[in-house]
Amino acid sequence: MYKITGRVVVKESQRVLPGLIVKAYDKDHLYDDILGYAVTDLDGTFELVYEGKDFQELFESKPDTYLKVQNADGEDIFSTQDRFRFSPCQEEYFLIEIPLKNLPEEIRNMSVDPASIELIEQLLVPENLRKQQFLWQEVYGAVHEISKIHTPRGEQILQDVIKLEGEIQIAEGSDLPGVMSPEDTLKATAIEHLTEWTGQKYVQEIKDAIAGRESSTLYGRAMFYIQKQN
Amino acid sequence: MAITDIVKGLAAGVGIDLSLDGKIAYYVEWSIGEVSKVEIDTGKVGFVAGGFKHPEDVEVDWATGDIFVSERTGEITEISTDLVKKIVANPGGAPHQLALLKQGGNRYLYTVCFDSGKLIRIDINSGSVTTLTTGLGHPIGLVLDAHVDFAYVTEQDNKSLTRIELSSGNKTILYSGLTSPFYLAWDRNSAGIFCVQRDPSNSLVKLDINAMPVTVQNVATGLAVRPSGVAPNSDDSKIYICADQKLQVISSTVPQITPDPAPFEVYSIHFNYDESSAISLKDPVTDDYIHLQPEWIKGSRDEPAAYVRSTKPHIKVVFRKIASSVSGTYAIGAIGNLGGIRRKNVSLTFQPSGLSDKVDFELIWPLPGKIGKHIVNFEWYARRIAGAHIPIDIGSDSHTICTTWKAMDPSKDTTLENWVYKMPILWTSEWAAGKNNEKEICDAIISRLPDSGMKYGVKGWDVRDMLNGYQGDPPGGMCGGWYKMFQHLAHCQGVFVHRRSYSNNPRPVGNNEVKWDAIVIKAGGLNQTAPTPLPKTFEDVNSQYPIVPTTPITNVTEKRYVFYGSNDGHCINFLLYQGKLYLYDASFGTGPFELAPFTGADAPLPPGIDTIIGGTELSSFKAQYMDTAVDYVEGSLRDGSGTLHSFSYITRQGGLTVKTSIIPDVTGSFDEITFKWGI
Repeated sequence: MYKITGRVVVKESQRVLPGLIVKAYDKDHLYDDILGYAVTDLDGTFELVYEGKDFQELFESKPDTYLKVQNADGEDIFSTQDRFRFSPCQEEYFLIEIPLKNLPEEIRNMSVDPASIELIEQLLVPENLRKQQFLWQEVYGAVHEISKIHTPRGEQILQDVIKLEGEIQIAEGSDLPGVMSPEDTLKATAIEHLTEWTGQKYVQEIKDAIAGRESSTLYGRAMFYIQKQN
Repeated sequence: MAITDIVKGLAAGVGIDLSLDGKIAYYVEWSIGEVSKVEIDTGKVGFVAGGFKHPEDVEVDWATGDIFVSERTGEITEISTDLVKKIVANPGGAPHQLALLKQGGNRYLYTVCFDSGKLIRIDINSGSVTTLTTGLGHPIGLVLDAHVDFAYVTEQDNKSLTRIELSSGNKTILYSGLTSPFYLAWDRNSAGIFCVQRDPSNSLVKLDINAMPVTVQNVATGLAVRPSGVAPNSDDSKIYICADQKLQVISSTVPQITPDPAPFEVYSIHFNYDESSAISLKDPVTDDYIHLQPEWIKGSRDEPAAYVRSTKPHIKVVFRKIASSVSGTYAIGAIGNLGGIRRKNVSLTFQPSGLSDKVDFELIWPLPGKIGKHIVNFEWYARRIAGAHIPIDIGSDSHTICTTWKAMDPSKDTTLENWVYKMPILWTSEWAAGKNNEKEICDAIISRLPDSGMKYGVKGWDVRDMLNGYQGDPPGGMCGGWYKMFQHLAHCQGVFVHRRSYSNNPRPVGNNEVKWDAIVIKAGGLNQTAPTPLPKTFEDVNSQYPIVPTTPITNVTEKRYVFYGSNDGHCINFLLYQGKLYLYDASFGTGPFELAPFTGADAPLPPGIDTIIGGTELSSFKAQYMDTAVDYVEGSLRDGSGTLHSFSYITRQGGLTVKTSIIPDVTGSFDEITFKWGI
């Protein structure tokens, strides 16, 4: 079992780049083997694991590894092909620094505000729901922020938001959502993006979360998003 | 002259006849079909006969003791001295006041018939009926002169005292301008005629028929409600009036009538018991049904009740024993401002606690036939039925009773129940009082909504939270609560309004622009002078759209509501009435806005299952409602110089706010404003 971990950043600013696809290859004489792939997380990190059989050829005991970085549409952005790691250890770490000039426009500004991640993590702690006062615009904005880029951690956070139980304590002077309660508005937003990212993958979790709410706006919204991805 | 109650507790008293010595009066009770008699000096009441079908008058042959009763159904019945009833005649036509004439050994009853407009004479011996005149306008009262030359009658249609020559049947209106003139009686000189005037006058006047023209003298005002019968004594010093719930005397001396101490009292009244026709109400604080215990308990509980208009409610009453022992059967009932409680004979059984079993009673009259919030008073009385007794006061109580437009229909929407919260039904029954159709009711609710005291712009997204106040905020809520609240309020009156939400549909349109991220509203909303969020800076485009290089952009810092993202927007209600579509915006207390019908699966309504529609499909909605209700629509847009003004979901600002009314429905083939519609 081999593991590759790493982080993708902008070379000049060291700003992390979430939501990019990192693919690991074994340089071969004839045809490069793909060893595995991962998506960079909210903090730009990635982790991929592969088996020995993924690269082994005659007389080869270890891979000669390089990485490619792609955008969400699978288009190549960057490659470490000119910097092989020959016969790497079982666990290798890559810091991939992509020069700004290599980044397309839509990626150049790609980032997720770390404060948003922290805020949502606070929100998801059940005790905080009861005790902590939240500003709606920050909470709603944070979920939107996380939803901008499909990342593993973002996917997990949105799953957690769907299962959110309890009422968010909204601070005085805060914005307020109009149509649905704060909880339902967040859930609808999470359902919207999860279905957009993963299609039908979380349909059962979503249906469980809205069970018994058939007359609610949230239910209608959820069904709309589920059917939209059919 | 004072007006004093002789008997309290008549069930729609009408006609009265006083004995020649002035000591006994017979009277009929229309609602309960009984003839009773009262000892004038003591107030003791005794039952004479029952089983009549809405008796209108009683006339006694004081020489023989025979009693004659006219009934609304058309019959004239004789009660003999041994209390045997016999139908004398059935002329029909709703005979009212009777006049007994003895002539040449024969006895005749004269009467006027309200429905047929006839004056008739009935030969008591043969039962034959002779019509003396026709064409009277709903006659009610009747007296004959001593020579039996003329009859004098009251006509409701002419509001008159009319003289009829008995030999010819010719009619002459002597005086018109009376108020609901009812029964008549001669004064002591047979020169004047006492005439009872009903609602709203409730008075007694005397008409001098010898004067030309006839003059009217006021005798007494402030009689008990709906007076009917009149019977003066021989010198007019005491004039007895039989009214709806009381028998009164007009005299200069006040009779002393002292009832026995109350043996028991009214303890509790349950309006909405099992099988009741009452509307179920809930307390928003506890979320429990109000009717889990009696709505009224003496000294400790006073909750409202509600019924669909014109309902005739039954109630369950518990009595508490006061005397050490209570025995016998009592006639128990109540008088009150809406007619009171129908009297019935009851033998009470008391538990060791001193409380009786529940006793079923019925209101005498149906509740008003209109929407309203009524304060209903009951003054309870009990009279032992064995022998003659004075009715005893056994308590009084007052209740708030609402009458609604129609029965609720919970099947109309899954959020509607077969119950409603207490305050909404109290509010709507007052606000929509007297309204006659669904549209008028909704219009009344929207216009009186501020009177609820509830606010817009505070936390609250469901009806109960809005009523209670949510997370420390005052009662009220956001639009997601208000459209449910408006639906709940209409539901109280049996009116169904649809609810719809419309949410933003942010669409990237290239060049990093997004149309549209948010709707922006400057009004404060219901019971708010300004929006509740903190001020922000907006970049307004007020004059021209699509934006060109010369389009001015105005920076404004102020409080505004900004509803942003694909899962927020605004909520409203729709009423379909007589083929027309009306929009109500409860959050801002506005409406109705009459809209052209939407197209699509839910036409004429906008989609109820989340569906995106926009462009020309929203033309009427936008022009009639949105252009004034939603001040701006905000997008991530480029200005005239090409600079992107990007909307931030965290600061909820940064985009360009474009005045709604200057945005066209479509630009080329592009639908400018689109919304995600749902419930």
